[in-house]
Amino acid sequence: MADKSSLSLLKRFIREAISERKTLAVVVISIIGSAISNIASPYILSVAIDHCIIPGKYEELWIIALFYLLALVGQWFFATLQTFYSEVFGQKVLKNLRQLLHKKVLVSNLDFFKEKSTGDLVSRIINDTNVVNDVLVSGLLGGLGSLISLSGIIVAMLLLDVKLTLVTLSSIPLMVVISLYFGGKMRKAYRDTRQKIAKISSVVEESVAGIETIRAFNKEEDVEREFSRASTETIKAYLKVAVYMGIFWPFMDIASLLSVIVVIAYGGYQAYLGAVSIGVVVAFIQYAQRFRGPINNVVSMYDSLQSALAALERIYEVLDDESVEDYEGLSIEKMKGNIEFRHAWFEYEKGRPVLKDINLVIPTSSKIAIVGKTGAGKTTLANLIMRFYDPTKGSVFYNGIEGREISRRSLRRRIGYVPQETYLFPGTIMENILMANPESSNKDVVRVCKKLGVHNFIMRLPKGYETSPGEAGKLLSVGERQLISLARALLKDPDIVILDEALSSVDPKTERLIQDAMLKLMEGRTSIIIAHRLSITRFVDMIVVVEDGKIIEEGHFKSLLSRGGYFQRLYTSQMMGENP
Amino acid sequence: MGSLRQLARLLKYLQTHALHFSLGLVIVVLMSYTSGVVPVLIKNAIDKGISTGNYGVAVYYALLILLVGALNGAFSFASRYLLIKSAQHGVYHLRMSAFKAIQRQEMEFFDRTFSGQLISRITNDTERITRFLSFRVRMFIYSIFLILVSLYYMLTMNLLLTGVALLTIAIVVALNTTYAMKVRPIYDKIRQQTGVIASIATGTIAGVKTIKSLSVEENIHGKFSKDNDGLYMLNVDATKITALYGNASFLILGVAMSVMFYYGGKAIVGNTLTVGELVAFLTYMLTMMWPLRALGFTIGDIQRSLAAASRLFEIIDSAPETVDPPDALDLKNPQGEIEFRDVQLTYRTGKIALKDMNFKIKPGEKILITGPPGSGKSTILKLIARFYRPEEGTVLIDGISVGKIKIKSLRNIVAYVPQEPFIFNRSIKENISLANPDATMEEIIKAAKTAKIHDFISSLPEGYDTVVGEKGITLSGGERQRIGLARALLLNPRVLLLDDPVSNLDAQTERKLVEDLRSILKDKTAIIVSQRLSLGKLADRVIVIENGKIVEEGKPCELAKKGGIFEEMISVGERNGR
Repeated sequence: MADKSSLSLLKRFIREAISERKTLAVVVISIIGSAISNIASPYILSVAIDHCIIPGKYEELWIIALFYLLALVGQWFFATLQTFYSEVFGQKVLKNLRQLLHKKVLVSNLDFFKEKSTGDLVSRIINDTNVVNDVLVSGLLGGLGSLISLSGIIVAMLLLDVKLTLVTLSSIPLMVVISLYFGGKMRKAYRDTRQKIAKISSVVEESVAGIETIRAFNKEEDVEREFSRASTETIKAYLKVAVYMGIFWPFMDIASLLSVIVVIAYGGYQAYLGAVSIGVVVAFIQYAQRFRGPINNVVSMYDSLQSALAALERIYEVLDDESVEDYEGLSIEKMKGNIEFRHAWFEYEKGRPVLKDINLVIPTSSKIAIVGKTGAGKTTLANLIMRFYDPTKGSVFYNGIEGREISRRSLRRRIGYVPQETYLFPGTIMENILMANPESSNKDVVRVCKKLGVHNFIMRLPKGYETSPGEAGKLLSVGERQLISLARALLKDPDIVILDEALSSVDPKTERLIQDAMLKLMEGRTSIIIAHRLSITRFVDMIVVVEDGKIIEEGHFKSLLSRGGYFQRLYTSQMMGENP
Repeated sequence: MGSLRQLARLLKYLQTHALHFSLGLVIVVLMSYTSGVVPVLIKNAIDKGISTGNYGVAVYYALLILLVGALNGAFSFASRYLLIKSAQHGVYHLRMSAFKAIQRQEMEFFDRTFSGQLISRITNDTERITRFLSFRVRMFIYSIFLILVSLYYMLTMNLLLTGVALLTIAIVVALNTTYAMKVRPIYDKIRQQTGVIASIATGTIAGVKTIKSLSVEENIHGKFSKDNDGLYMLNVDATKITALYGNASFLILGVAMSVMFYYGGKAIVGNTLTVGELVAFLTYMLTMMWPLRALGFTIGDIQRSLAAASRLFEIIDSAPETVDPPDALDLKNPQGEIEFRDVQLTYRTGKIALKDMNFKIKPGEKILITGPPGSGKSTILKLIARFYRPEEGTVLIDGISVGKIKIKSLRNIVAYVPQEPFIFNRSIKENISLANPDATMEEIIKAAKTAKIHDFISSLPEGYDTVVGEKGITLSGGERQRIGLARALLLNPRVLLLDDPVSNLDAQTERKLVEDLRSILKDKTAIIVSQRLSLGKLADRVIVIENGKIVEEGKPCELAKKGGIFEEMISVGERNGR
């Protein structure tokens, strides 16, 4: 069963890889040419010995020498061709696979990311594709070349002398066994060393990232011991490789020598009897030395096939995943009009509704705040508006149009979303803001930032707009990152804004900056704020209180406070206990 | 000259296995002899046995070849093992001293060094050195001696053909050296570009929601495609060089063998050469093919391996010899009095962190240090914990400069809880009991309860045995903070330094935690740095810092009415609803 599925995996891969036909054709031609020229030279040698040298016919020698040269030059020519085109072919396949994977990730919906870690996905895009290229493309082509030269050699030998061929071939099973057994162990031991090295690097990583903690708790010696242990393990793993390598290569050499010896012994006897010529024996000696490489190639390819298939499977798993977003639908230019939830239900897991029968009208150009406990369903409401998910039951209407009919992309183009945790891409702050609207210029960015009041903050950074905030924005605080996210949103000039307040603490100054920027961004736009701190609720037209997936209160700040319900309790509890 | 000194220093690390190493080298020489003699034996088998029809002689030489082959195998095994063993152990020492040096480095070193760089030094650079010391050195010696042995035997057979062989060897080595030097930089670029692609892909995946909400999928994919194409082009470049230079030696060898074939054939007819000798010449050329390539690569690699070594030496040399000064002492019976005397510190960027800082904290006093971000609050804690040293002035504990206290003793007195405690990739239990591995389960649970993290831990499927961190479950900022706090509590220190301990907690948890902290801090000196003024409830005294200077100081209730920065901060807090 397992074999059948790996076979179908392989078939599918080959079918898809074959699209690069021209390159592949050149590769196949060069493999065949390489095999033929490889076989030719010993044969020419034998002809030269038997027909010119031994009879002493010097006149024809130059012709034969020319052929010999031709064979060797051919060998070089085809080898060069094969090296170049098979690598180019492999790299093309690799490039396309990576492109496909990356594209796939981008069109996947949020469900897809739920159970996969970033590291795992990146590893599929980078490492697994590499393995596939190394083993399946370069490996298969190399293996194919080896098989062709091997069979070519055998055919050539059979043509020269059948008995001598059978004798010479007697060492092949031995080579296969050595290559399978010791070669397999060697390759496994080698893989182990990679793991041990990975362990070393994770110890170093931890000891550097955690250096403050290690010092604060006197753990230096423990870490050192751990490092020493990992290092010693590496030595052991490498010595194991040394042993298997030390056995494998000499054994292969000796097996190869054995064929030479057998040829000399048996061939010499035959030559002595006059059954074969000396030239043929010399040719056989040369042939016998050419088994080693191809056999090892074929066997090691078989060996690594398993890991390559596993990598291939991981790649196809991503490519075949069905959690994709559909971008078809109505394209809209403007998003004016009410947003309306009609009997909207939603569940992430079957049978556990997060939103239950939500009915809500958000009038155009109004500001509403959604409040409630963590897990009440606030962010899910925002996710539905942006069509990251569609309601499992019921609908969301935009200006009277059912959301499912509107193209996701055109909808999102009209929405400015400021998430809790801003993700900053590698690059400068300028690039990070600019990405929100590819049509705008650096000037637009500065204008927007000035409008939001974050220009001064950015100018205070070491290189202003050209500051690179480090991977994932580590150099900026949560609040500062959110300011950049606000600038991003404004640059899009959206009709709808969705603001998810940051949860973790922001110092009072930055917090005021954020609040001012938020209010500016909301001006004249339909705005939805997911509020964790209730201070902002004073500025909105309507507050919606969500509890356990249901809307339990709705109304203006003052009326809710005076009503004495859930909101009032929440508000007073938050205001309490904060002051010294 | 500098390279020689690096090499000498590198070889010193082999001292513990000097015998292994030199024995290995001797055996490599023997191995090159056994390899170099095989073509001669084949020649004899042909000339003395096969051509003359003397069957017994042919078999004799065949067996001799087998014997030499077996010897060669044994030599190969022994030399490989010995050299790898000595190289691995030598590099082990090198790696250890580099790692220890990293551990001894001042905190400032880590502020300016990327962890990826250090990892690459400790893994990639040491790997390269090991490869150099074992594989490359072995192939170098082997190739040199194999060439010498081959040339010797060739000379005994035919002068002209030997000349051809010598010329070929020179060209092939030169070609391979150029090849190695040309292709390496491209491989470095490929590695770098792969990193670029990986970082774009990471961005795509980690920032997918941002990308979707901005509707910029096409732009991002365009960027990925561009860099992916760039990687492809680099790979094609590398392949071009490999195909041209890497294979060129086949051509040279082919031409050389054809020349040998032609002149050899002529010589055989002219009776100055035998068939066996011609075969031997051709076999020599084939035998030397790979050693010549290895020789070229070794020559091309020497510079890079020594560069790798010097990068490691740099790390080792840049670290202070010891952590403690020679006259450091143990602080017995610590009281927990802390004093800053005229302390000044400047950041690496040139910005002044603290200037003329003077204050004294009585044993058992609780202090809240507050002020705008970047004012130098956290730096005060790090100076007490001796993560940094003041440029001027002294930080004292119980009247003794922290620089004079043995680091181990200091760590037992002072517990520092950073704003973002590091969580090791281990179980929660191990993470909490970090400072005190002998702590009982009860003690651990007690600390966790006080730190308000016990309920969360209990809710996990494997409770305290749940593995957290990189390969385990990921903790939120608030959870990490509370585990960091539990860790410090278990140490039961005299002085507790808390860096913004509630910054990632929600309002309710924060309130409960502050309540509980009161009793924990009871007989300890505590310095709490925070933006949140709720912690002022715990404090006997508040110090407000701005731009590295104390601007206000006093009892919290007094400061709140004084009309200064503190009062302003409170009012901002209120307006923001916190």
